[in-house]
Amino acid sequence: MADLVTHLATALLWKAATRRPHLTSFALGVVLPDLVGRAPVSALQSLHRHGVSAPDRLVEGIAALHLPVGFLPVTLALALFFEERQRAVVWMNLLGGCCLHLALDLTQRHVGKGYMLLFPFTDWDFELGWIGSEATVPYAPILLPIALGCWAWRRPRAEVDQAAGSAGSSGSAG
Amino acid sequence: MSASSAVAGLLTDGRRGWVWLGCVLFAGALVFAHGERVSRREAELVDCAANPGRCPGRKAFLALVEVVSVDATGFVVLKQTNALRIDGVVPDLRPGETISVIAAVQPGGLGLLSVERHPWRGLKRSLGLVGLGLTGLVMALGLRLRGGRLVERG
Repeated sequence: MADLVTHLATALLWKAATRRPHLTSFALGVVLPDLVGRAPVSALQSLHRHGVSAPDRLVEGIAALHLPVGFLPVTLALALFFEERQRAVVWMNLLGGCCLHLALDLTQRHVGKGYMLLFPFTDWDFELGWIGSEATVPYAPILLPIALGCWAWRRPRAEVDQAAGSAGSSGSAG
Repeated sequence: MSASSAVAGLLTDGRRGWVWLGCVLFAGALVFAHGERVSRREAELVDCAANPGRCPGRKAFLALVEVVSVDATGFVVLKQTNALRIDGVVPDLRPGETISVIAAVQPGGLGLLSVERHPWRGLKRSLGLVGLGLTGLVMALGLRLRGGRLVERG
């Protein structure tokens, strides 16, 4: 996984490029795979170091929520916490954010493994291997303010009104 | 038909509880299935390391594992919750460091073939916490609560 700051920056850049509203749900979507698929594993490993062990299957299994098929139930469950008229567009933005997250992660290189994109149908894994797993870290502090600036410059002017007006009818993740 | 209308049935207040329960069950099934598959492979690796005669020469790829101890002839890494000993010396290796290892099963256990060090890992974790804080800020600014439901401002 790339670092969360870089993931957030890509969300801002995407919204700046497309000039579409719903930054909040898109940004939440872009960090969601790491929040549900990585952070619990780190927490369980920390507990393990302090003598509290969770079953291996649970620790290994949580990573399924960082895969495309895992995005579906997580984002849908989260979207259901929103008002009914906003749910569809929020769900699409959450899913879009998750896909952008995965797209950035796929550029990385890990020793001997990739992402099981077609799980549970096959164990085949894939990644592009263009950059190391920490390659984004030195650039994140520069990228974030640039992304914020781009988003502030390109942000839709009537964002709040637009969101209220189109919430029930738009399903685009853009 | 737009994407939103295609899934409209799933998103109504009337079915909210059932859909939510379905999501939890589906996610649970995925976690279980993934855990079964991956932990089976992990168990094979742990078994190979403990009984090298069963799978001589087999390669083990250990990505982003934490070093838990180092001695004169090798080191121990934590792969999820399994501690694996690797024979081979890596200069200046310290417990707590994150590394990626390619090892091979040999008569004494796992022998080091190559190692990749990840000196930026700690900073990446710190950036993760910063990202978490920023996400919280974006949520606080972009969401509000109305009638027990979240509403996105824009």
